[in-house]
Amino acid sequence: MLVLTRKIHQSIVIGDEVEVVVLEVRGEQVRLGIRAPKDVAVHRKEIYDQIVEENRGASRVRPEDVPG
Amino acid sequence: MRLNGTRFGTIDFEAEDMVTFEEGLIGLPALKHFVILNHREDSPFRWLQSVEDSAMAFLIAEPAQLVSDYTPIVADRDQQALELDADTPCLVYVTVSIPPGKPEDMTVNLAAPLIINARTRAGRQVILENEAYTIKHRVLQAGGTVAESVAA
Repeated sequence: MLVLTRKIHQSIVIGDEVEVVVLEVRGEQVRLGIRAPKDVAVHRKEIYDQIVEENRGASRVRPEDVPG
Repeated sequence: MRLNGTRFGTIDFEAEDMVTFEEGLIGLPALKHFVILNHREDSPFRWLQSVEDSAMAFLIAEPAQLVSDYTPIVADRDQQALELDADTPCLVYVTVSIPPGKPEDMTVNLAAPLIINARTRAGRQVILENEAYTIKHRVLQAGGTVAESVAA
């Protein structure tokens, strides 16, 4: 993994079109601003991981447990 | 076309009944082609059966029959990817999880519905920005009745 040190209001660019800015650091919390084209989806990783887990859950349902 | 070895036995289907998720489901990019099977007649539940991997079928449902007031707003980038405009017929499904032997603990993922352009049969699992819709929304209340409206 590439590791970079940044100060408040400094940013990194990813490719030509994505910029991530450090807006605020407060204790253990970091506020980030993300500038990206509209066709790039940006999500919190834990939300993404939970959706992956739900999708796997949906594939493990036993037909006999489905009501109706 | 024919699929052997699914959980539902051998399935015959027409190529035009296939739906294509160009990017797969979230976390499962290799599965792109599916057929949608009815669980039973008059049931809100369907099985999203993978064509690539006959062992994989996902329980999905028509949300309108399980929850009220569910009005997902699809982001522009997803609408463009699916070539949806205001009058394109589209299908909305949510994935359903049921712990083994506990249908009363069924949850639906309202935060990441499956949107399908009914004209082109192209589909996409989208992540909604509305935080009122949760990933594990309980469908049944403690007494076994269908829970009331989703969003405040």
